[in-house]
Amino acid sequence: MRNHGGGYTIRSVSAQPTGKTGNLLKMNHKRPITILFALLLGLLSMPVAACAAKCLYISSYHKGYEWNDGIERGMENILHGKCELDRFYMDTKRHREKEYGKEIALQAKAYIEQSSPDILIAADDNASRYLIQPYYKNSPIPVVFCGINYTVKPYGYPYNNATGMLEISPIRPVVKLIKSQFRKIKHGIYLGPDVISQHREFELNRERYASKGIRITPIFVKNMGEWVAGYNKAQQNSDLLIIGNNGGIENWSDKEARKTVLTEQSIFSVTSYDWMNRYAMLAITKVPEEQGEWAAKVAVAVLAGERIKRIPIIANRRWNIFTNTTLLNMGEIKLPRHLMLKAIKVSL
Amino acid sequence: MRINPLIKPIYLATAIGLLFSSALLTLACFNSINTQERQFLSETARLKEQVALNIRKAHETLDNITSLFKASEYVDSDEFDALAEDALHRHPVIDSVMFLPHIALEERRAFEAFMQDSGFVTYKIHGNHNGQEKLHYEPEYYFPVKYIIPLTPSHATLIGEDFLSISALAPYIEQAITSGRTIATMIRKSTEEPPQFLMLKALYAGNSSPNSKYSPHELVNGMIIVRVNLNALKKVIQNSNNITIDIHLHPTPKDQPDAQEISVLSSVKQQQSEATEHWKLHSINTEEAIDIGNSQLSINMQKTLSWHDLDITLLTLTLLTGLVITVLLIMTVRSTQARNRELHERNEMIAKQVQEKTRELQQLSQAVESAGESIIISNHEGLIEYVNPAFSKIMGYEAAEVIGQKTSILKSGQHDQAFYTDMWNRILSGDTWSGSLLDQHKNGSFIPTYMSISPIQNEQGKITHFVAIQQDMTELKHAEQKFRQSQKMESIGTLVGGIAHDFNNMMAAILGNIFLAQKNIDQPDIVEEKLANIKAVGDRAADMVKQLLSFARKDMLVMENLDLTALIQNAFDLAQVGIQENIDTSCDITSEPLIIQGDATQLQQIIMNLMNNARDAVEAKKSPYIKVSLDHYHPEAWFLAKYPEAVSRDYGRITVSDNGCGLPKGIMDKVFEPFFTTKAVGKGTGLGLSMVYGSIQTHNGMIEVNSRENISTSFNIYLPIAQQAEVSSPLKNSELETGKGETILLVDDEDYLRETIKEVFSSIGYTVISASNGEEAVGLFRAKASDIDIVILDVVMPVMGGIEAATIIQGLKHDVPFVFMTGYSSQNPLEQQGFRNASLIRKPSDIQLLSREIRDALESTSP
Repeated sequence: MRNHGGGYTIRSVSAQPTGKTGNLLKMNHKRPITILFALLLGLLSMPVAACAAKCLYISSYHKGYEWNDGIERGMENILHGKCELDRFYMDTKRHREKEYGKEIALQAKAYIEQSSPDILIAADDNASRYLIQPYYKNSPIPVVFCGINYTVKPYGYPYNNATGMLEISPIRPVVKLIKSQFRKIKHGIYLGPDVISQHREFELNRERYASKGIRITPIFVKNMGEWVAGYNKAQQNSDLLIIGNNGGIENWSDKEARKTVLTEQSIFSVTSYDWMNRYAMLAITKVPEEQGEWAAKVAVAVLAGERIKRIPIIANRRWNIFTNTTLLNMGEIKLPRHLMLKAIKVSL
Repeated sequence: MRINPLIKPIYLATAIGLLFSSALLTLACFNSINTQERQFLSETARLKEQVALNIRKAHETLDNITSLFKASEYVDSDEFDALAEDALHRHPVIDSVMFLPHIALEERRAFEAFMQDSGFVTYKIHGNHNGQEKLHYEPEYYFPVKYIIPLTPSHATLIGEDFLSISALAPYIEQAITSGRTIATMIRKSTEEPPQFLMLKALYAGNSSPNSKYSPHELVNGMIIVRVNLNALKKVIQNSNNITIDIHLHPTPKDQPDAQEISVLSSVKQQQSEATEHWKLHSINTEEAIDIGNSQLSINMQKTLSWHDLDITLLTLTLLTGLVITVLLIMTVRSTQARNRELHERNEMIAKQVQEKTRELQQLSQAVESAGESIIISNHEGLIEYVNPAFSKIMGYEAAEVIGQKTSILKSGQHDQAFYTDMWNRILSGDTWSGSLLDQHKNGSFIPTYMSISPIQNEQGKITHFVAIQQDMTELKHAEQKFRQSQKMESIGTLVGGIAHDFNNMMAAILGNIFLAQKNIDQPDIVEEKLANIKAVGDRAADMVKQLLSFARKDMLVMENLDLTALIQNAFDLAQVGIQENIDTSCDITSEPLIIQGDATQLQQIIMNLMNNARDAVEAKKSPYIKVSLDHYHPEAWFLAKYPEAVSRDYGRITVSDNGCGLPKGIMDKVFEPFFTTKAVGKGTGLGLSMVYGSIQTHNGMIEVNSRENISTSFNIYLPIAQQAEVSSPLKNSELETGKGETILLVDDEDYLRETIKEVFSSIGYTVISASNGEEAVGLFRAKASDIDIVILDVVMPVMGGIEAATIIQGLKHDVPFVFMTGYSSQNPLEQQGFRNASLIRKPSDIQLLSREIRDALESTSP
């Protein structure tokens, strides 16, 4: 779709292992009038196209994935009218195989070569893993990444042509709150699926809490039953429950989880995942729009002449706060007023 | 040069107006300049306030964040962000707020690691040259940027930059550390980068201040820097109205000798062309100072007033007002002049009109004075106020005699009250009354006049005067009489042939009867029968002659009550004599008596003229006829509409119609004009119908003609019926008045007549002495004066006429009565002679009439 007024075009390309982009204009010698008209249109649109920079958004995931869509919303807000935004979805959330990642990266590379964008915006780890690091490290085309979890080390950043924003769970504000409001908490349990990312998440939590004198131990589970059992164990053996992700837990049941929480909940519980805010008293979660907005702002600055190497890699700084009033009332727990005012209130 | 006196006031008014305009314009200029100055002062005060407010906000933000750091053991990025973002949100003049910790050389790695762990994964302290790892100087400590808000990509490039590496800034950092106060400065990090306005304040360990026992360099643990958004500040001052603003910074108070002034901001000066410079009017400036900690910001504001800055609308309006006043002045002068001129012209015009009116009045007066008609002006009570000389000439009165008299002084008494009532009704209704009437001369005689009387009304419609114009109709009447007489004679000529024929027949009848009487003399019955026949024929002849003589008589107009039925019958009979026998004549007269007031002779003449015309018209017709009719006519609507002057409700309608050649359509309205005729040359005078028309008018009647060419013509005459009138009867009875032995002196030159009358009167009781002429009669009277009781005289006789003789006889015996007899209609000896007891009868007359006259005369003189 081309918007002549703002020079802002959104063109989406989904993962097409064997596909190729089609010509927008199909030559038809039998229709000279159509050609003439098309040429005229082309001439008219040339100045717009010439002055509008092209930003290619490479998503590790797919359209419709909530995290991805949040990043896109943030980008669109900033780029509107400043850069022609094109999209490429690698869809690696639904296709986790490495081979797929490599194959889709090649398609993305082909698409990049074909569309010649002025800047790449690579969202989340797989885009850097399969595409940027192998093909665009220190290349002439600037790259802005975002959504990379915890650290850029696996991908060798920083490059001369890249900067971006890390995605770090907002543990620090939770720890700060607990330290100021719940001084008696000394031991907490991290309850999450037994997957690598959750192990990494646990480590981060452990470090953060440890720096404030709170010990955190993990319970990694594989299925719903284990999760319920872990939940009950945490209620018995710790002062704090940190609820991790539910991705990777077999036969996850919201109903079961709800029932468990309503019957067993007794200690203060927190989470960093907004979709798990129903089961924790306090949820402080990442804001995907922040990732998109920063990446877009950096892209605009680079396109405006700022040297990308001078822009430091930074971590996310904003978060959403959710308070579960049902659980807080059940546990008779009062949170600071300023926190309650800022928070989004949910209930079971 | 001599100036036209009319133009001079205009020049004067123009000069005054222009002077006034100039004065107004000057006042407006001064006012405009004052307004501009006031606006400038107001604007500069506002600008200073705005700049001061913005700088103060930046300064307050600096102080607030400094206080935050002083109050907390540790300020994490969240707290810094919250406070700084709030300040940025509220004060757009703040570009960014930075926190730069004081990092000792040995702390560098640990600090960098901490920052990397905090999310700035690539954090390194670096100089201001593109983030190079190696600093270009040998520092003793660092002031790297730790926090910067807002964290935009551009600002993010400052993270880790050691501000001590900025050579231009280093002295001010030092000054901020040592002074402990806010330091404001302008720096330019490189020639490529725009200058930055920075406000710095040092943070010290704990609650210490630079004045404590530790040196500032020992105490300092960080620096807060607020960068002022010069573009936002520029927006504040660029809103100013043509005011040039220069903002300078004095890092130390201005009065200090080493103070070095740094330009912070200058508003864009508008390029003024040389031509514009010429229009420069006035320059105003002001300088204000704002303290920022240890520094001072001076704001110099200047505005050059040119003519363009003046309030053009005010000046234009003022100029227009002045010009309008000038124009009004000129117009007033011109208007005054025009009014004077107009008044002058109007006066001249009025004088001219007065002259003209005077002349007209004089002419009118002369015309009135010299008019042939008498003009009488009376007031509303009928009192005469003016008469012209013609009045005196006609009526015999001098003006002085009638002024103040009632108009009734002129009344002759010959018109009845109804006449005057009708006249006054018409006049008092506002109309003009016109009509013929008889007025009485001063000497008592009657003057026939034609008079028009008009009322004069004032503006309210009230009658104030009456104007009467009186025309003496005496001459006209005489002329009319002469004309009528000639008409009669013309008619008589026509009659003669017929009369001669009738007379011959009658003579034959008389002679035949005489012959038969003589032949049968011995048979008294037959003789008596024949004599009766002879008398009848004689009466008839006498009637005919009498009518003829009556018609030919030259009498004055005598309006009397007449029975129209008898009159029309007689007129028809007389006129019929002159009409050929082949023409079928008929007369249809109503049995109803129709009494009118009129003159019998004129009416006869009317019938005669109309029938003679009809006779001529039917001359070529195969079955010619002439019809005369008389009926009673009650006016219909069309009649009253056509004749509004109709005074009567009843009319006698006389119609004379024929089936002759008729009148062409185009001449219908000309037939009554004098000398208009359709007859062949020598056959008509063209005065007949004119005379008819005049006579009808005299009788207050109307005449109408209807004709279809070659088919018919009819004349309708309408004569008003007299109300409650009695017909004058010539004879009260037909009996002979017998004598009582009185003696009559009979004088007539006709022997047979004298003898016949002598024989008749002798037989009825009178003694008759006769004489054949006047002289003989005088002789006889002298001889037997005492015996003679009455004298009967023929007027025309040889030797001595009857009048002369009677005059002598009256001299002899003054009370003797006379009865004159005459066969000539023109004679009326009684008009001129002052006979005390005399009467006139016309020959031939009835014996009965003569006997009655004699009896009346004798009885009138008897004691």
